[in-house]
Amino acid sequence: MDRLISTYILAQTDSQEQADAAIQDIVQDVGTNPTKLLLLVQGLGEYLTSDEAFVRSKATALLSTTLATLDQSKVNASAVSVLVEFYCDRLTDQACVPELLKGLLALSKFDKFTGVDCVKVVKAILALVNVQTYQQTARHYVFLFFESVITRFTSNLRSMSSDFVFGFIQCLDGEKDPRNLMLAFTLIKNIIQEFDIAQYVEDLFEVTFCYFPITFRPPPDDPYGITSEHLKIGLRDCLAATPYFAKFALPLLLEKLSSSSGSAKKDSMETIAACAPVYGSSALTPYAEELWSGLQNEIFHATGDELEQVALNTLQVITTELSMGVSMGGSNDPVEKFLRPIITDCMTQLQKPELKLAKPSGKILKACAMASDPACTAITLATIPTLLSQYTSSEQSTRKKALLDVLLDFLDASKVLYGAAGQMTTHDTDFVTPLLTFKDRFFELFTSAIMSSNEYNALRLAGVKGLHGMILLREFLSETEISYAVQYFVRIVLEDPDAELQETALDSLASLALNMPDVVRSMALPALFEMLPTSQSDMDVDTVVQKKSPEYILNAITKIGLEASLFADIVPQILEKIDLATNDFNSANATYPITLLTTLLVLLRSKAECGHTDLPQYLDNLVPHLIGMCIYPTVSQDDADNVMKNPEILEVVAGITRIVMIHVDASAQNVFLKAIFSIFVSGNLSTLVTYKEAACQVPYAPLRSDSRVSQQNTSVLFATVIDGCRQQTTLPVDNLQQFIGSLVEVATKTGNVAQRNALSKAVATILNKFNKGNVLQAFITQTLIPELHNIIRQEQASFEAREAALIMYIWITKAMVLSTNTIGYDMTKELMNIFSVPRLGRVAADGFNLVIGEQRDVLTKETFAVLRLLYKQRFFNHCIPVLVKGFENSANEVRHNFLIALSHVLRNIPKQVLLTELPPLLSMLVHSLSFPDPELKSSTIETFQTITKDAPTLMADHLSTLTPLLISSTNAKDPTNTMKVRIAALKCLGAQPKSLPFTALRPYKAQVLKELEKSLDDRKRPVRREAVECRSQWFTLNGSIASA
Amino acid sequence: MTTLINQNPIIYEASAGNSTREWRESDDNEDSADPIDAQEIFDLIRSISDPEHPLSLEQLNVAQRDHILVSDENSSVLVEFTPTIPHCSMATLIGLCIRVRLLRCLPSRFKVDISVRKGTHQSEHAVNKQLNDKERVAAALENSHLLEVVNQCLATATSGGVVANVVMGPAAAN
Repeated sequence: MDRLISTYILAQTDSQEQADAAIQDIVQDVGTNPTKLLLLVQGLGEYLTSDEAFVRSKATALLSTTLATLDQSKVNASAVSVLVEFYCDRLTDQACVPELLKGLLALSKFDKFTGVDCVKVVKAILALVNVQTYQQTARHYVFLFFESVITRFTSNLRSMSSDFVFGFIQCLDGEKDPRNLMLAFTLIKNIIQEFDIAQYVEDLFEVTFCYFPITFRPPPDDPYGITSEHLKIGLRDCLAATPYFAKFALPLLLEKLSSSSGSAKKDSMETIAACAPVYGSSALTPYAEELWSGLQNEIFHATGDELEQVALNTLQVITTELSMGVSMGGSNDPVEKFLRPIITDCMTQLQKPELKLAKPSGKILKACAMASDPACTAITLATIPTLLSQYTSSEQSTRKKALLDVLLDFLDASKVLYGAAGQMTTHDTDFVTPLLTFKDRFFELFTSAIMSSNEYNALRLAGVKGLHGMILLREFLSETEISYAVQYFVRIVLEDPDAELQETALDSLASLALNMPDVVRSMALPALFEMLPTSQSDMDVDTVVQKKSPEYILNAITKIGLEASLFADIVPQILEKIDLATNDFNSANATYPITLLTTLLVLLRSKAECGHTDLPQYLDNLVPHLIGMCIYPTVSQDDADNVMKNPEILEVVAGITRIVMIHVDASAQNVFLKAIFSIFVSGNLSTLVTYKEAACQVPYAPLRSDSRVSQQNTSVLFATVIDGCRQQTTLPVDNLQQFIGSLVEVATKTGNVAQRNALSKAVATILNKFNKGNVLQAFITQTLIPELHNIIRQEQASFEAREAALIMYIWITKAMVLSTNTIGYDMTKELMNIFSVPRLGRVAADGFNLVIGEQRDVLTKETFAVLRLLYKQRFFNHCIPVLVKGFENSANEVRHNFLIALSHVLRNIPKQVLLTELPPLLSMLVHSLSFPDPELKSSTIETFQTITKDAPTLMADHLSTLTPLLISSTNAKDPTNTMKVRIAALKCLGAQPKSLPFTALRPYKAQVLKELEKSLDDRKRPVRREAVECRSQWFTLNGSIASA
Repeated sequence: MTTLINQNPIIYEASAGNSTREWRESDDNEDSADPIDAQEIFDLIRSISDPEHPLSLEQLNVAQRDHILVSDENSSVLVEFTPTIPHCSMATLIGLCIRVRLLRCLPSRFKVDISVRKGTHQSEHAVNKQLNDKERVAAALENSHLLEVVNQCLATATSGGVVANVVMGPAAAN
C-alpha cells in the first residue's frame, strides 16, 4: 500500500501512466475492502501535511477518488463522521479545496452520512469557501453537493434558519458557467419551494433575474449539450416559482418586452405567460394596461409568425388569470378593466376590416375570448352587435368577407372554450357559449354570404366556413339546422362552378362525416349517388355539361366515405352501379367503371392508413363478388366483349383484393386460398359465392398457355392473392415444386405478356416466402436455373421465348436478393454475362431496376415478403465491383448496358451507402453523360444532384469535367437532351450555389450565367422555369452571404 | 421602429402554389413550343416581396396579370404596376425590382417596358422615365447597397404567391 501511494505521489508528469495504474490499484484494493481505508489515510498522512501545496492536493485527490468509488455500505458511521470532520477542517487549505469538495460530495451520498454531518459541512463550506473564486469544476462540486443534500436533509437544512438561503445566494452570485447554472436553477426552485425565503426575496430575485434574458450560445460541437433553450426554461421555472417575485419581475419583464432583440422579446413574453398563473390576478392587475400596450405591438407589428403566436398566447394566459381575480363588482372587475382598452383598440381597427391591421385585431379578440367564460361573454357582448350592424350596412364584399373572418375567429374561440360537437367533452357543461344569442343572425349571415351571387368567392368561402364552424360547436345548432347546413354544402359540391368553394364544402362534409355520419348518410350520400350515370347513354346526353362529371362525384364520395358505417353503405351502391355499367359499357370505354372501382380501392386504402378495423369482412363478400364478375365474361360461349375484361379493371380489382387480403389473419387467408386455388388451378367455379351455373359454358383455365386470352389475363388476380399471403399460410397444392415448375413452364411458353408477368410474379413470391429453411434451395439451383439458362442461351430459339425466360430469371433473382439468399448474387453475375448478348443484353440491364428497385405492388413489406435487413447494401457490395470490372473489360456497345445497370443500382441505393461508395464510380458516371440515351443521362444527372447536396467536396473536385457536360446537357438542339434531361441538368447546376463553397464555383460563374441564357429561351416552359431558378441561384452567389 | 410609408395597406388573396396555369396535353410534348405569355411573366414577378411589408406584389395587388402585355413574336413585354398609394416613394424601387427580375429571367431578345399604371402615382412620368432608362438602371445597380435591397426583395421571387413573414425589419435573433 505504502509503495503504491509513494509511486502515485512521486510520479512525474511523464510517468503519468504509472500513477494511473497505482491509483487504480489502490482504489480497487480499498474499494473491495473498506477496512483498508484506515491504512490508506495513515499512509497518506505525511503527504497530507506536506509543505508543498501540490503534494497535499494530490494526496487529497487520491483519498477523494477512493471515497467516490468504494462500496460505501461497508464504511461505518464513526469513520464517516471522522472523515467529515477531517474534510471540513481542511477546507481552510485553499490549494486542496477542489479535491476536498469532490470528497465531500462523495461522502454526502453515503448511507451513514447524517443530517448533523450535513449541517456541519454546509456551514463549513459557506464559512470557509469563497465559491466564486474557484475554477468551474470546483464550483460544480459545490452545486452538486447542494443538489445531493437539499432533498435528503431538507429538515436539517431548514433548522439552519435563513443562514442557508443567504449563504447559497452568496455562492451563486456571479456564476457564469452554463453547466453550473443548470444545477443552480434547479436548486433555486427547490429552495423557493422548501425554505423560508421571506427575508431574502429581493436578494434571491436579483441573483436569479440577472441572467434574464439568456443570451448564451453553445459553442459548436458542445459536448455538454446544454442549449440556450434549456437555460431559458430553467430560469423561467425559477421566476415562476413564487408569487413573491411578482412585484420585482413584472416591471423588468415589461421593460425587456420593448427590447429590440427578437429572442429577448420572445423570452419575455413566454416568461410572462409562465409566471402569470403563479403571480395571480392581484399582482397582474396594476400592470394590465402596460401589458396590453407591450403585447399589442408584437401583434400589430409582428416581425414573424412565431412571435405573433407567442404574444397572442401570452395575452390569452393573462386574460385567463385576470378572469380568476376577485371581482370588486361591476366595472372594477379586473378582467373587464383589462379588456376594455383591448376591445376599443381592436374595434377601431375593425372599422376598416379590409385593411392589414384588421386580421391581427380578430386574432387578438379570439385569443382573449378563448381565455375564459367571463372574458368571452364580455367580448362577445361588446363587439358582435357592432360587427353585425357593420356587416348589414356595408356594401363592399371585401369588407363583408373580412367581417365574416372575424366572426369565424369567434366561432373558433368558442369551440376551444365550450367544446366541440360530437366529441367527448371535458368542458364544464354548465356554461354555454354567449354566441348562442346570435345564432339565428349568424346562420342568416353565413347562408346569405353563400348565396350571394357576386363574383367575390372569398366571401362565399367564408360563409361555408362559418356554417361549418357553427356545426362544430357543442350544443349549438339543432338537428334541423345542421341538416339545412349540410344541404347547402351538398348544393355547392354538386352545383357550384368554383373549385375552391367546392373543395371547402367537401372538406366540411368530410369532417362532419367522421363526427355525425348519420346526417351525412341521410342527406349527402343519396344526393351524390343520384348524380351518377347508370348507362352509357346517361353519359352522352347534354345534361352532363351542367352536371358534374362522374369522376368528380366519385372523388367527393371518396372524401366523405371513410367512416365505417358510411363505407358499408357505399359498397353495395357502387356494386349496383357497376352491375348496371357492365351491361352497357364495353371494354374500350371503361373509364367510368374503372373510376367506380377505384373509388372503392382508394377508400379501402385510406381506411387501412387510418387503421380502421372493418376491412376483413370485405374478404367474404366484396372481393369474391368482384373476382366472380371478372371471371364470368371469360367462360361464356361467345367470349364476347365485356367491360370487366379490361386490363385496368383487372388491375383495380387486384388492388382491392390485395388491400383487403393483407388485413386478414393467416387462418382466414388459408380458407380464402383454398377457394382461390380451386377456382384458378382446378377451374372449379362452383366455390364462387355468386356461382351461376348457366353462365359457365366453357372450362376456366387461366393458368394454361393454350387457354383463352381473356382467361389468361385474369391470372393477375391469382398472382395478387399469392402476393398477399402471410408467410405462415400454406399453399393448397400436393407438390409445391411441381406446381412452381408448371407455372414457370407456362410463363415461358405463353405469348400473353400479361399472363407471363403475372406468373413470373407469382413464382417470385412463392420462392421468396416459402423457402423457409432453404427447402427449395436444391430445386432452384438444380432444376429451375439450369432450365431457364438453357432457353436463354439457345440461339436458335425465338427472341420472345428467350426474353420470357430471362424475365422469369430476373424475377427469381429479385426474390433471392430480397431474402439475401446467396443464389441471388450468383444470378446477378450471370445477368451481367448476358449484357453482351444482342437485344437480350438491354433487357438484362434494365432488369437491375426490377431486382433492386422497390415494386409498388409485389414483394413488398406490406405483403409479407421476406425482406432481410440491409439487403440493398449487401446487393450493392456484391455487384458494384463486378459492374466496374465488367465495364472496364467490355467493348463500347456493351459498356452502355453496364452504365444502365449501374444507374439503376445507384438510383435505388440508400443515400448513406451511395455517398461512401461513390468516389471510385464517378469517372464511370461521367461516361454516362456522353451516351445518347436520355433515360441514362437524366438518371445520372439526378445522381450528381444528390452528390452535390450530400457530398459537396466530392463534387467540387470534379467541377472542371462536369460543368461543361452539364451545360451541354441543357442544349435543346441535341435530340437526346429531352425535356427531362435539360431540367435535371439545370436543377443540378442550380443546386451548386447552395451547397458548394464560393471559391470552388467562382471560376464558373460567368460561364454558367452566360450559357444558361439560352435556356431562358427554351421552347418548353418547365425548362425555362428551371433555368430562371438556376440562374437566380448563381446571380446571388457571392463571397459574403450566399455561400453560407 | 421606423415609420412606414403605408402603415396599413389592403391585402388581397394570393393564389397558392407555384402557378395557376392549368396543365395542357402539349406541355408534355417535346416538340411543341410553349410561347412566353402574360401568365409566365406574372409568375416571374408576383412573388417578389414588397420592400416595406413582408407581403408579395400579388398580395398587395401591385402586380396584376391583366396589366401585362406580351408578344413572343415581336419579343416585347409591357408590365404596368400599381403602387399601393399615389405618393409611394417605393414605386421606383418596386419598378427596379421588376426590371432586374425580368432582366435576369427573360431571353435578351425581349424589349421590356415597365411603367406605373396610368393615374396611380403622383410622379408617374418621372418614375417611368427612370425605369426605362438603361443607363440609369445600370447605374442604380452599381450601388451595392441598393443591389442588396433588390436581391432581398427578389429572394422570395420563386416561392410562389405568398410571402410568409420572412425576417425583415429589426433583427429577429440576438
